[in-house]
Amino acid sequence: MDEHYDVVAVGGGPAGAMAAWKSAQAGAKTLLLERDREIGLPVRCAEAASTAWFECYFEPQEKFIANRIDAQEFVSPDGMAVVVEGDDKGVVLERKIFDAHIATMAAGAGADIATRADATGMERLKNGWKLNVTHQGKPICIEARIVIASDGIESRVARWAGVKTALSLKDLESAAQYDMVNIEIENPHHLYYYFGNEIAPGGYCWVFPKADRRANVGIGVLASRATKKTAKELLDEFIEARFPRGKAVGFVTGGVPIARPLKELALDNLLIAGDAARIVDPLSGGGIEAALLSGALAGETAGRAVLKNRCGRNFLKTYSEILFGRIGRTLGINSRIKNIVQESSDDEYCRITNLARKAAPGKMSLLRMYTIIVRNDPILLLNLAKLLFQR
Amino acid sequence: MSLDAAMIRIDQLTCDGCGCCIAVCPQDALVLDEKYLSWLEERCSQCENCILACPVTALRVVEHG
Repeated sequence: MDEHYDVVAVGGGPAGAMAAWKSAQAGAKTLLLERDREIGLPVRCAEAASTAWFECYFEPQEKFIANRIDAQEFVSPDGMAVVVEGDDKGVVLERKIFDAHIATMAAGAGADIATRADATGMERLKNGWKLNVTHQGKPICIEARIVIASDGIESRVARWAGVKTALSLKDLESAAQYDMVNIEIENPHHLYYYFGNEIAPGGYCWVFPKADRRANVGIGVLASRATKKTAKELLDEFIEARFPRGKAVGFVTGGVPIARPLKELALDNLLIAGDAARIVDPLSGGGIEAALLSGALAGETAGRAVLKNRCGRNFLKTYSEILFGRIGRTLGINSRIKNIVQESSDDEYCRITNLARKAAPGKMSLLRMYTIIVRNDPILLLNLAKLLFQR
Repeated sequence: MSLDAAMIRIDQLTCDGCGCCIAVCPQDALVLDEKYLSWLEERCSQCENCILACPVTALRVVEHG
């Protein structure tokens, strides 16, 4: 590791590793910093994703795919389920191997990688930043022309640059997850989502199978509604009720930012990517896809900026323009739908589920769901519309 | 800060290091290094967001710290 780099990505998750890979590939001298002792661990993730989002960058490989998914089941508080068929791209990943795979490609393209490298602060330089880093216990300084803030939920790097990244409690899903074995899964190739204000206020419980009798069983609870019980307490109740004979072989906590994206993802000499940019899909809570895309775009943009010697905001902002061009609209729509889902009563969950079940099987789209509700339960539609425009 | 201001106590054995508390802290008063979470009293505004955000009750308020 050196003291001067063109590009330093802080945080070795999918966003940072993609950024380091693409930046190094573009010819920039690149460093990837990871606070933990190993890239990919701990796995704070439910691991469901679509290969559609990364097959444009690299080949999906069996070594990081634990399971193939062909449908999703949404279970309402009365136990009724709506099955939504998927394409053939759904998977449950082995994130530990997946993340290491991306970091390996970054290294292959020439990026340096430092683990146990904890960025503790950042100072402005005339043309870049000076990062204070504790590397394997020793304080060091690293200068970068461009810093990529890929430090996940904490998003402190952008804070150091003056961006307000703190989340309101309404914009954080407080999450916990067990790696469970010895559990009965009706269909091990389905993802299961359980909704209800009792079981997971403002969020949902999930069962994402990784093998026949093994799954990530987790919960996300809206932090503003976690007043009586914590995410872990609610998850324990869910598991006690549904998988009394299951055994946990792992436990992690995590947080999912479901805020609207930060307004500025590009500043002078700084780009913000992945969860740190608050670009998680607010409806599903899925963040891997946006992390990969934003990481790749940030790395490409940073690489080009260095070569052209144009590291200011004016050039770097092409990153956010391209990124929001790709996912901005979906994030906006899903944020509105999220508000409906979060504010729905258990009775409304059940009525929606019931109506969806009445529909002939097939691909469920929003328009189709809307048509079904208009025809069958216009009062429900009114209630949902009120929720939509409440905020 | 007044003498009777509440303290945030961190249970390091319960804390899993997920960073939820850091994400909701408006004052940047919580810091996680490779091993431990620390609370910076001089920055804390006592909003207690961190306590609600924690998935496992690793933080709590202790009065008259």
